Amino acid sequence: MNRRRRLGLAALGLLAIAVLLAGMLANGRARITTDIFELLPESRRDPLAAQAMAQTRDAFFDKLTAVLVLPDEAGAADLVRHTADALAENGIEMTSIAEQMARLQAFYAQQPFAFLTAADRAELELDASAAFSRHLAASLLRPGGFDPEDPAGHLARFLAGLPRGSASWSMAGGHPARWIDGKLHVVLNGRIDGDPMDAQVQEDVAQAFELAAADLRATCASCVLHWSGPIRFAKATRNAAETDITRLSTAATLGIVLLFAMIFRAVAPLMAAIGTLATSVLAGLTASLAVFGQIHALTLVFGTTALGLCIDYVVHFLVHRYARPRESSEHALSAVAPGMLLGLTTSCMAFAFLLLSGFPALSQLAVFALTGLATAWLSVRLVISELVSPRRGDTFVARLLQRERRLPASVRPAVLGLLFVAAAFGMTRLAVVDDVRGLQAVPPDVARDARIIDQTTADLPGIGGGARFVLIEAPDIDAALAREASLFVHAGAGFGLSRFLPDASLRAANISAWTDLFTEDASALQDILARFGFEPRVAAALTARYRSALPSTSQLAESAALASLRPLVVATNDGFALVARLPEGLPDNVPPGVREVDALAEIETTFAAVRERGAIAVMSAYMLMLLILSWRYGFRGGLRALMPALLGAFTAMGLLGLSGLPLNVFSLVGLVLVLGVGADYALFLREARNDVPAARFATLLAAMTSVLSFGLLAFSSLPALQAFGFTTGSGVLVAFLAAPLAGRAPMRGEAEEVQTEAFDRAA
Amino acid sequence: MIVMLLLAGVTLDLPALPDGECLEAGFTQTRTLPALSRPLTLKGRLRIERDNGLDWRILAPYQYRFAVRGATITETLPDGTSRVVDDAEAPWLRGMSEMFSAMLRGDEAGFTEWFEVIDTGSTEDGQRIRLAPANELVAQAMTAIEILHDDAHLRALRIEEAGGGTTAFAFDPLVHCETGETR
Repeated sequence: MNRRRRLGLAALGLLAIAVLLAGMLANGRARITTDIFELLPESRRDPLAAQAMAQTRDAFFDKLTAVLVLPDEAGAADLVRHTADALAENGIEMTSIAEQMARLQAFYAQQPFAFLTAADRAELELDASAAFSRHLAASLLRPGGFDPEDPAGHLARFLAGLPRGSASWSMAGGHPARWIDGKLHVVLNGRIDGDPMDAQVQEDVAQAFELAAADLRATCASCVLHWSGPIRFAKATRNAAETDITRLSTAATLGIVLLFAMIFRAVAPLMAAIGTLATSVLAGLTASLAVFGQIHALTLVFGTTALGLCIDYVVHFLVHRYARPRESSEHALSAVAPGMLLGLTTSCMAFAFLLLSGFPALSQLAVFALTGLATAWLSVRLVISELVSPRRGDTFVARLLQRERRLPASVRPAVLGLLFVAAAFGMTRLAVVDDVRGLQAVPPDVARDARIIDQTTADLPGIGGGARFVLIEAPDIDAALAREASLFVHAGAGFGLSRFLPDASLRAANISAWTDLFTEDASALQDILARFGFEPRVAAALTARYRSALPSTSQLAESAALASLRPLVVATNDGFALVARLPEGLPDNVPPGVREVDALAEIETTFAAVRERGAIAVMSAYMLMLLILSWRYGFRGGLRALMPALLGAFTAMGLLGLSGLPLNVFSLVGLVLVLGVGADYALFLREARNDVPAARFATLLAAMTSVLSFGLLAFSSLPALQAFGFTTGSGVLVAFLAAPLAGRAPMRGEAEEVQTEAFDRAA
Repeated sequence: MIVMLLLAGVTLDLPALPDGECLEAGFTQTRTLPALSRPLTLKGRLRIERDNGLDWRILAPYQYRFAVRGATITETLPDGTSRVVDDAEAPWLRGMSEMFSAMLRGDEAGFTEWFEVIDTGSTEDGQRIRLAPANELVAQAMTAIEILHDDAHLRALRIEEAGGGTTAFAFDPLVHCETGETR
């Protein structure tokens, strides 16, 4: 292929990538997400549990909680209203508990006779007139309020039985309040209007709270506003990622620019490296978006970092090209082509195995890296080799190679031996962690606010709470409600829809308990009310309400007053399932259709399964690489070629253990990279026949760029990036140190020559 | 011994309660509600004990008792049955009873937790204090309380209810009693 055709082909490829990417982004089909749950596979074992988890998770993700800490009660209501108004002005509505209670009261007041406590129902069933008369007298005779629509207080007693906090709760400015350590803590609950994972929404919410807090401090210097919610954690993680990536990538870029400037003393090599990396990232992004429709920000970060690998191809070509400036580009390309192709094959092999892990994050990364690496290889073959040439008389690299100093023969094995012993000791201390919570970066102020809010709201009931819940399945919603209610009786407590909405048969039983009062034109009711001096209209109004039609359970469940409980109802193919919470867990001997789901344990199990599958995939990749390398170098030669990568991976794991860092799915991704990079170093050295010093120098340069781009991530505040950076940085360094041990003479000379010729022709 | 209760500058001098003693007064309660065709008039007796004990009895024409002992509120219904009242069922009840106890024991902090003084003045019958609920749960049931007293006696009290009704109490002079003694 001549120069024009090569460059034309490359331009066409680049254009295709640009058009495809622009097209996908323009029509909104593709997006970049930051939701960590989208990295997890769908639960295949229990789709109903997955749906319930998704519903409660969505409700949880939108949740905002603030706690206003006031030094005393003076002016508390005004301060609370003022803060709620300040938040509302910036688009955050905090729902007052007084409004919620009023809505609930209005909801039940539509047909108050259908909602009774068990004790009241039993009393009414026994003697409706006597029971009504007794409670009516109490309502009238006790000092204080009287509700003519609930004259005997039956609905008030039902409302008192609804889930609520302990008796220590009061109210301030319409919001629940309690005293803790001599200070009034007022809880404000709200929901986000928008996607909590959207960066703009996160910034708007944070700014609204900052403004409200500043406003509060201006009015009351000793008052404090704490706030929390998944959106704040998501924002903290995003901010940490952005800060780290800016800081670390700037440091890495500066280091690499400096390195290239010092070695090649020209702009073109640096442009070649940046151009190759940029094209590879764009190609990887386009392929991931085309295949998955979306890409996670973490995949993008890991993928981009992983493509630091493709710089190796550029570096090897450039060093060979600049080492012999008088010879043609073809000469340099043919010197590195076998190493590049073998490196590409083995790296692709390692990443391809990640496709089998069944983990969206790893599959996305695999597609991203495979496409990126292939693009980088093509870029060097088609473009870089044609466009980058040293200036005439530029012999700096050649002179550097002549002055090469080698380590004394005993130093390398001694250093590697020491590292091996340390790593072996570290392996005994290596902890495997699959807890997803450990992957977030939580700044101290965010953690403090969350802790204060958790302490304050500990005994407030709600659909939040822990990650454990109970699923109650039934053919219809009434059967599910009845099953849930009997489970709560059996367990002695519980939070679920049935606490607010009795099933249809229970509501019918409640209405029927009143029958004696309302038969024969409600004469019994009229007599009792008249005896206490009530106007006849009171009996008439109660009778009309008693005889009004009651909506169905489904209609009631759809009511706005119960909107916050809607995530607890899961519609299934066979009926309904209710999500409930039991404070003490599931008791023994539960009825069929009831089971406990531990969402966090599910996620941990998923992570563990993915890590295990990933580990098997990586080991399989190593085995396959060994096969390929054995085909080329013989079994012992193949084993030696693979040894630096294996030693790098082993040491990286051992050093993780020594540093107290856990082995998680992200360190596993790092190990895949160590495999690819480590194999590359060994292969480039091993494949260098006539230009061993150039190959050694290129490997040193490649290792330095790798440590700069991967190793710096070990200093990230994000545990996921830290685990990845530490594993990759240490692994790559050790693989580099060990690489010359694989670059010895062929083990099976004749056979290898045969394979070399065939392979070289292909390269 | 006299306890000084300072309510926004108004001084109500009441006899303090030594251990084992209590205060007692008869009252007439008149309740007016929009739903009632005529006011409901009741006779009863109020009794305050030193340790947060309040006993509110209606004696005629119905028998009803409302008693506070520490954190427990118990009511005895006209048919003689007793039940514990949940705070959430009638949130104003605790406020009312603690307000009474605090006022008559001279506990200003206990009083201001529930009510704040919004107006004071003098009439021919004595000093008048108008209170508004400081607690939002109490405010759901009542909008204001007006107290009429002279130097040593609580004379009358009027509760304005959120639902539009009023309850007026006229008190006999407070007398000492022995704890445990029932009249």
